[in-house]
Amino acid sequence: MAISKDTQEYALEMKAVSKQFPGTLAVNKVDFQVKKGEVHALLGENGAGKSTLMKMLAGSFTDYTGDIYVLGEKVQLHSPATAKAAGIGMIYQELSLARPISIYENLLVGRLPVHKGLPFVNRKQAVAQAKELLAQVGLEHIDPEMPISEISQCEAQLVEIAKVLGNDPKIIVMDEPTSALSSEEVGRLFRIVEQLKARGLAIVYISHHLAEIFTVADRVTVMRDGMKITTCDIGDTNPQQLIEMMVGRSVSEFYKDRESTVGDELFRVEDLSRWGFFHHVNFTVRAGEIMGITGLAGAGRSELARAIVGVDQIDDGKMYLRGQEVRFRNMHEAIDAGIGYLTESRKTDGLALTQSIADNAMSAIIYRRSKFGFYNAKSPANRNLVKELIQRLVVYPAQPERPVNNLSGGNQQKVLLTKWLAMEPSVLILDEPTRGVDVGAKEVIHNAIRSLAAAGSAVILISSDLPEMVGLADRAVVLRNGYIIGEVDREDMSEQNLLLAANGEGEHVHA
Amino acid sequence: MPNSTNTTVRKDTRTQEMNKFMVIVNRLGIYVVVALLLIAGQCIRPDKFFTFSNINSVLQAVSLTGICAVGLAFIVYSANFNDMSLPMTIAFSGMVSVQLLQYNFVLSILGGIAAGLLMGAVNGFVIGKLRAHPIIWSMAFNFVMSGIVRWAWAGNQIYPDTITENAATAEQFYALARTYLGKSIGLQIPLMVVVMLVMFVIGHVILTYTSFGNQLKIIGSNYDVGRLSGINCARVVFIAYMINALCAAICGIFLASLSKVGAYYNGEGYDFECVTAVLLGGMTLAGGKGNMVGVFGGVLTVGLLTNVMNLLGIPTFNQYLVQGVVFLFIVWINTNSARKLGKS
Repeated sequence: MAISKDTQEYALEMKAVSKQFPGTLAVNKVDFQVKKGEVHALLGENGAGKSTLMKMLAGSFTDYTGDIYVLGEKVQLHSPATAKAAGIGMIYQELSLARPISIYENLLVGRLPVHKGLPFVNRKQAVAQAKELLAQVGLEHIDPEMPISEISQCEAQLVEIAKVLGNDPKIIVMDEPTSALSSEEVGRLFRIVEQLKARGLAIVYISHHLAEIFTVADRVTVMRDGMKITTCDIGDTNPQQLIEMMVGRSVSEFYKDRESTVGDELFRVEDLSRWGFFHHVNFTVRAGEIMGITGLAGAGRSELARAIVGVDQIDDGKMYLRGQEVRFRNMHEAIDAGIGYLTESRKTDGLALTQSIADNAMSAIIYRRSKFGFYNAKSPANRNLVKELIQRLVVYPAQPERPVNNLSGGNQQKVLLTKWLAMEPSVLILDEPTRGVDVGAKEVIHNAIRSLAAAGSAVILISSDLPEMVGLADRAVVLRNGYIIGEVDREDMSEQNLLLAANGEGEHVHA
Repeated sequence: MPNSTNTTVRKDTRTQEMNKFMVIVNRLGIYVVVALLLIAGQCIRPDKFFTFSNINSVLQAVSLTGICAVGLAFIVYSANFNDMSLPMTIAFSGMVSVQLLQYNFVLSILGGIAAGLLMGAVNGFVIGKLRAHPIIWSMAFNFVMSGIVRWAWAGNQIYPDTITENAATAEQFYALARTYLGKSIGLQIPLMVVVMLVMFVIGHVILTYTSFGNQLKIIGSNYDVGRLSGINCARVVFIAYMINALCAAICGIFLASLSKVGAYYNGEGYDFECVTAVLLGGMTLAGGKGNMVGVFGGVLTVGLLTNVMNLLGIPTFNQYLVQGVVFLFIVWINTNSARKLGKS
C-alpha cells in the first residue's frame, strides 16, 4: 500500500525499555518501532521476552524502565486503563470474553450506553452499537444478543477484535490469534487484518507459524534472551534465517528421516466405543512405532485417549496390551500397566504449576517409588533421576526446585514430558505435545519422542500440527466424527494428504 | 540416533542475583516473627520472660490449638480450605469419651477417638469421593452434628463424676490434662505439650516423607493434574480428613478433661483459630504450599503474641486489635517476599 510522506511517522516507539523479574532480566534495553499502517511481526522462542514486552504495552507493569511513545507522544503505561486510553488494544491468545454473556455486553463492557439520566442500560442503543462494531470485522450477520458460547471459536476471535476496535485503538497487538483456527478461518482473519491495516492502524503480530508471518507481515523483529536481535523487512529475509536468529544457532533440517525399527504388536484396541464420542475404533500399535491419530478438532481424538487410560468410561470394545486383555478403571491402573498420557493442556490438567520442576517430574511415579508408604522426594536416587531428565530435555533453568509457573511455555512443556518419560512407559499417548512451543523446544521434544520409540516403546501421537505429524509419525489413522475412516502410510505422508483425509476426502479414506 | 549433540545448553545472559534479604525472609518465614516476639518479650520482662515456667505456659496455652492445627494443615494443604465441622468433631469426641467413662477409662479414650474418626470418615467420603464443596458441606455437617448431639444428650452437658460411679475413673480422666512429665529431671512439662510436639513431628514425617504427603501436594495444587497423574485422589483426600479428625478427637478429649465437662459448645472457635495458625505458618488456601515446621511457627506466634501482650498488661479487647494488625502484617510480608522471589 502507498504510504504518503506525512504519515510515515511511527505509531509506536519503545526506546531502551527493560523489565526485571525476580532472578531474571526479561527484557533488556529493547528498541521497538511500529509504523502506522503496517503489520509488524514479533518473533522469538518462548521466554525470549515477547510476551513481557507486550505486557508492558498493555500496562501490566508499574516498574519498567525506558520510554514509550505513541504517535510521537510520550506515555506512561502503568495500568491497563492508561494503556487503553493511550490507544493500545490487546488481543490475547486466550480469549477474554465471558462465555455465558451476550455478544453486545461483551463488546461494550465497561461502557454500556445508559438511558439519559437513569442508571439503566439502554439495550436498543447497545445492540445498535454492537452491530456497528461487528460489521467492522465482517460479522454483520450475527445477532449481538446471542451469548458468546453459541458462536464458533473463529467468530469469538473476531468478536474479540471488534471489542478492541470499540476502544478506537491506534495500535493492536495480536498474540497467536490463529492458534485455535482452521486454515479457512485464518484466511478470513487475514482479510480483516488487511482492512485494519488499510485504515492506518499499526498491528503487532505474534505467532510461531512462520508461514503466516510471511503471508501477513510487512516487517519482522526477532527477539532472543530478552534482547532485540534484528528488525527487517519481510522481503529481505527467509524462514531459515529467522529460525536461526530465534534459536541462536543453526538448526539442522527440521524433520530428519528416522530409521524406524518396528517390532511386535504392543497395544491393540478392538471396537472401542464411547457412545457419542467415538465408535468402533480399531487400531494396533507396535513396539518402536510412532502412530499418529489425525483429524479435525472435535473428531474425538482426546476423548479416545482419555477413555483408553481410564479417565473416561468405555461403553464397548476391548483393549489388549502385549496380547493380554486390559481395561483400566482409572489412570493409576493405566500407569501401573505402563501406559502414559500426556494431556493436551499443560495449564489445566498437565502440570501442578505452583510446584517445582522436581515435584512435577516425579508426580506420576510417587506411588511406584515409595517403600511401605514412605517416599523421600530428595533421596539421591530421586534427585539423580530428576537431574538426568532435566539434562535430557534441556530444561532451562536447570534448577529442580524452581516452580514451573515461572518457566517459559516451552520449558513447561518439556517438564510435562519429563513426567511421562520418568515412568518409562511402554505405550505413551501424546496429546498435542508441542502446542504453543517454539522451534528450539520443539526440536528437543521431537528428539525425545524419537528416542523413546527407538528404545522400543509405542507412541500414539495426537497432533493438529501437520508438519509435526508428517515429520514424526510412521503412519497415521484418520479419525473423523468419532469414526476411523482411513489410514495414511509413511510413504504417502504429507500435509496435503493428512488434511484431505481429515476432511473425509482423498484416496486414503476407505470407510 | 537423533542429533542430540546439537542441543547444547547455551549460556544465559539473563540470570540475576535474587534479593538476599527476601530469600532469608522467605526461607525462615514465620520464625522471623517468632524471633521478634521472643526479643520483645525479653525486653519487656527480662526477669520473667525466658523462665522455664513462662515458656511452658506459652506452650500449654497453645497445645490444644496446636494439636488441631497439625490435622487441619492436611486439609488446608489439600486445597480444601478449612474444616468447618472442627468444633463439633471436638465436642462430639469429648462427649462420647465422657459418656463411655461409665464403662472404663481405656474404652472412653478409644471411643472418643473412634467418634472423631467416624466424623472424619463421613467428611472424607463426601468431600473426597462425592466431591462436595468442602466449606458448604463441612458447615452443614457441623449443624447436623450439633443437632444430633443436642438430641442425643437432650441438650445437657455431661460431667465425668456423675457419669461414672467409680470416682477413681473420673479422677483418671481429669488427670489427662493435668499430667506433667519429666519430674525426675526437674522439669514439669504438661502431657498436652508433649503430645502436641510428638504430633507435629509425626505430621511432618507424614507430610514430607510419605507417598501420601507427596501425592497430597500434587492434588492440593491441582486436583485434575493429580487425577491424570494416576493418583487415587478420593483415597488421598479421605486419609487427609481422617488425620484431621484424629487430631480433633485428641484435642476434644483433652478439652473435656481440662474443662471437666463434656459439652456441645466445647470446640467453638477452634475452626478459625486453627486455620489462622496454619495460614500464619505459610500454608495458603490455594493448597500445596508450606510445611509442618512453618505451621508450628504459626502456632507459636499465636501463643507468644498473647503472652507478650499479657506481660505488657494490655486489656483483652485491645489484644484483639493488636492481634489483627500483627496477623495482617505477617500475611503481607509472606506474600510480598514470595512475590519478590517470583514464587507466587
